[in-house]
Amino acid sequence: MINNRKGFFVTAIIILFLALQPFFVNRNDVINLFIMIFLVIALSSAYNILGGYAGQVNFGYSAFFGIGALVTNLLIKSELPFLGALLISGIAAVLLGFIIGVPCLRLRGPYFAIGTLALAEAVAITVMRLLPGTCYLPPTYMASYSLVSRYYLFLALAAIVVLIVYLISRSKVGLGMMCIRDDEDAAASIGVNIFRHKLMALCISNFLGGLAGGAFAFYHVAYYYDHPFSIEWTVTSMVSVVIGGMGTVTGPIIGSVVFVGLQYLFVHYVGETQALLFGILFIIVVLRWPGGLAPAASRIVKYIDKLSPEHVA
Amino acid sequence: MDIKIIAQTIIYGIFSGSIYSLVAVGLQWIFGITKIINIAHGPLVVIGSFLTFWAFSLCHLDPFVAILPVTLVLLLLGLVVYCVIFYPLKNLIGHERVHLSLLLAFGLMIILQNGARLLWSADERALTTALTGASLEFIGVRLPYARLAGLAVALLVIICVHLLLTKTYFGKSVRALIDNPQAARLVGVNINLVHLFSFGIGIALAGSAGTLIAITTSFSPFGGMVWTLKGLIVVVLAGMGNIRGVFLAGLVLGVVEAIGAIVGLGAYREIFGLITFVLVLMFKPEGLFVRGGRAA
Repeated sequence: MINNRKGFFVTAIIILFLALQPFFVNRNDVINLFIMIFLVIALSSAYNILGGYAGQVNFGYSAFFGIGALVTNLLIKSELPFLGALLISGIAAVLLGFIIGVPCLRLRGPYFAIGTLALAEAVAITVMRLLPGTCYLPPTYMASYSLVSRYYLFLALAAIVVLIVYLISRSKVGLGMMCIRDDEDAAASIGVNIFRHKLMALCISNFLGGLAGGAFAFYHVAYYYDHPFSIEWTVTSMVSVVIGGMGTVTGPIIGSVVFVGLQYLFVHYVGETQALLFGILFIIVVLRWPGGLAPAASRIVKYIDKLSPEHVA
Repeated sequence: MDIKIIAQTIIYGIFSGSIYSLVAVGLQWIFGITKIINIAHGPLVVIGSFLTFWAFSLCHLDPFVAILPVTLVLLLLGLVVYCVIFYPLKNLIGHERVHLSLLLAFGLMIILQNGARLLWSADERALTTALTGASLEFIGVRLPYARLAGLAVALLVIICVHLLLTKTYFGKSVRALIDNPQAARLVGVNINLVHLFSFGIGIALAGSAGTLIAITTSFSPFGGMVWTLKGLIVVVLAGMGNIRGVFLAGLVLGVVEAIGAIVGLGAYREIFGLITFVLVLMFKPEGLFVRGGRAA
């Protein structure tokens, strides 16, 4: 979709529109909703690198998001500049990924899915036991808190993550990842280093997931220490990616908008059953439309393309 | 350190280990036969606990008696879940089947956890049975009756599974299917039917584990993933697909965790399971209890 000049213009206009949006809309709830959408876009796009392109199911994504949030919070409390803390939190998420990634990705079969689940549960429970309280943003950050700066942080984060996914999807490395996803034996036989590609996907995915966690710690004023470690972040990312379409650049974006939008509506109209409905929706999408919504969206784009004057004439 | 404390700890490790085994047997059974990794196994275990709670509070059934109806209800639930969610995967094999079934089980997990919260609220619950609190004193080691009975039931259920696998006609077709699905189909094994009933039986095992958990510890709607985690670690320790090694592997995990607790690292209990898991994958990925390389 973004491989031509038209696509580039559309993307630029969308980003420009989003960048100017806080000047026109002065409502905090709208800005918060957009921040949530950007966060989920960043999270699910980063998830997509490993889950969609390399085909490895990561059930422990929340652990990497959580460690990013935890590290950033601890570092800015010890008066490190925020951007430095953010970078270190990404690296921390990569290192945590090695614990499970190195032994599991060497093996065939579902070990990686099991290992990440084990890692996430173990880390979440341990954090809950060791840090039972609430964690706050440091007072200096609280005094100068502005929602608009957070808005731009998350917009930039989402844009960077999507750009990285786009670049990966067009690169040789990305091609190798997709090759592994489709057929490991075939990939190995044409000389793709399977372990290295999987590990690279894991590292990039975790790094960006950790950054998203760090941004979350900068945005939320107070939360329980174990909140970013809760499995609901894995649920959010996976549901968004699967609804939107795994292994596509636009999929997670569409999925995130649909997910956050539906959640917003569900919370207002159906209350507590909303998470249940997402579970049912998830299963229906996996069984009926394994490609997600992205193929349908690109069909609509093609249809509009056909209607445009240059084709008619 | 006092020898009594060590003995006591190891006994308690065996008690919790027996429940891990029971959870893991269901997981292993389902994976070995249908190649579905049932991430939703823990939430199903919790459903079993809550059904026991209902049987106890609404029908005034003793939990040890409730084990039968709860297991039956979960057998039915398992059959329904298989027909609705996993049956459409019947023509897939290999990586794609494992991958899609992981995603489907994940969706099922979301549904079960939130369904349980809506039905029973998010509170943590525990049951008091006729046996609760009483214990047997044996050379200075305390053996609570409820735990002892739990161990006995777990052992009994696992022996039943073993007999089902080795002594019945159904077990024969299951073994044929595990050995070689193609050949099994050729000699007239109805693969879909075997898959369906194996899945149901696996979920029924989750139900019986749920009852034992209700008797011995506490449970809550979102506590299910911990049981999935323990079960999966035991499955990997035993070797994936190897149903026989599961009982021992469960006891190993229980004892390792218990020893971690007396060394003063109780807060890191889950980390011990994780470390065991990683070490086994690094040094003996085929599992600790695989004899001669063939798993059944």
